[in-house]
Amino acid sequence: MWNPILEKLGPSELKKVQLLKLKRILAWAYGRSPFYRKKFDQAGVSVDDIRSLDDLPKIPLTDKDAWLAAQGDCGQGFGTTTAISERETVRYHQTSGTTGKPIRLAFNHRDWNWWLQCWGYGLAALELSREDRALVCFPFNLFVGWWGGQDAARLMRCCVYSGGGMPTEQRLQVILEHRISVLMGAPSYLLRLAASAQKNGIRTSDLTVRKLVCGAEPGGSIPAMRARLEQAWGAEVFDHLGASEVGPWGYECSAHPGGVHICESFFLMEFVHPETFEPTRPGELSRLVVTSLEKYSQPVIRWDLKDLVRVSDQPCPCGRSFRWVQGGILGRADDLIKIRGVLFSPRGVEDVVRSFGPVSDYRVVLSRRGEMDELTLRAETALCGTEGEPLKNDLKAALKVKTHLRFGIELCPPGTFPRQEIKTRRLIDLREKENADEQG
Amino acid sequence: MSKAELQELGRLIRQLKQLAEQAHQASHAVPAAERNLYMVLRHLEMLEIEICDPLSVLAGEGGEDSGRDAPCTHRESNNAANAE
Ligand SMILES: [Zn+2]
Repeated sequence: MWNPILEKLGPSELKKVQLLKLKRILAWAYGRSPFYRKKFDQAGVSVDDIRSLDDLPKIPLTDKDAWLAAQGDCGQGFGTTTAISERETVRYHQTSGTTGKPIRLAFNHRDWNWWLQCWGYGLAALELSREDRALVCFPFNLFVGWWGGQDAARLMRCCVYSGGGMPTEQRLQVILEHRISVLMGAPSYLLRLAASAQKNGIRTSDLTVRKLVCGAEPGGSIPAMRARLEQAWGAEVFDHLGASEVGPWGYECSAHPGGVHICESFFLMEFVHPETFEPTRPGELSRLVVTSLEKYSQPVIRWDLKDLVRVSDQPCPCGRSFRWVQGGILGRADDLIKIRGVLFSPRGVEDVVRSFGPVSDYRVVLSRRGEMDELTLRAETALCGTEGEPLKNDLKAALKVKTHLRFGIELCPPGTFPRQEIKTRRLIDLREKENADEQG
Repeated sequence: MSKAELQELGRLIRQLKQLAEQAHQASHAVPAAERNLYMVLRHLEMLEIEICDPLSVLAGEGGEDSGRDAPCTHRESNNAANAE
């Protein structure tokens, strides 16, 4: 363990540590961040009103839109979002901005050191050691991504190879020549790297890679993706969760409980109903609200990440008392649809379908019969007729377990769905159209 | 590690921090000393949050007096705040 003092604390002591840190960061944010001062004042909340962790909901939520507005336009630097002077900033990063303006991230020396501590928990959990040689497959740009993982691996005294600015073939050469034991990268890229090895006549079983650290995109916790990665590399897969705005908050241990530990000494998590924001119980699909307890350059207080998780109340065999989320990130609150009273995330279907080898592509069709919403999975497969019956039954059962919903299954021949280079929309919602037809 | 050994570790870290602060204050004419001591202090802050905070809670102090300053109240941040 990175820090057995904290990772083995009992729940009541952990809460005391969290409260101590919470009071400090709230006082700091109110004193130094115009963004939070305004937020607290507008809500009529003072720092002294927060006497226990249960008082936290008195503070209004923060989200990306409010943050971007406070950040201001290009040329205004960080706007009102920082609590340090710009002179103190020693690292600049930003989010990709694929869904709008990028969020600008400021770090002083202290906060970058803290960011590495967060990674320290994760890298210790996968038992990274000074015997290891880690190749970081990352372009090392303004995205904070693997910068922290790389520096933290050095902190662990592991020998680190920065794999930026090199083509895949060259990375394979480094893996071969330097007997790399750990790969860090996006899961989809690590699969591509394995495929490229095969294409170049390199057998991954002849390589020395034994651990894969996945991050920067979902996949490391998706069972089908994990299985493909494990098979492709003959290596153990560890997922790592985080968000540029809040920090690297989740890590998987070598006991692999089926989820990812929350670094609870640094992150105070609230699990709330995706729509009503009422607190949820363990095991329920929940929206994640994060307070980063040690992030001082740009404090993050009650940040609505919009990620969906299920927190477990089961202990992990590794002995850590930090809680863990089952199956990592389960989807986005933005993508949720209510069907027959059940909240449904399309990510769940993706997880299931990708674990069925004979299915090459699929669409989910949402329609309405009378007052009832109906879900149909149209699965593209070479199996047809009676040959396809077992597949239909298995898909139906697996989808029921994953989504708690009943699906109709239709098998379609290969080539039914067009192949698109850009993001494919696999959910087809016919309900509004049907309503309009009825009314028209 | 026994409880007494842990408390001793916490005490040594606090002592080290005080010494490093004194050394840092005395180092301003020598960038090689000042910059490196500045980084030493940033690392010591990590030891405070990782070791001293939980130890103060375990010692029943409720963490209110973990022997550390409010974070980030180091020279640069204070000067910047005062100047603005
Ligand atoms: Zn564990």
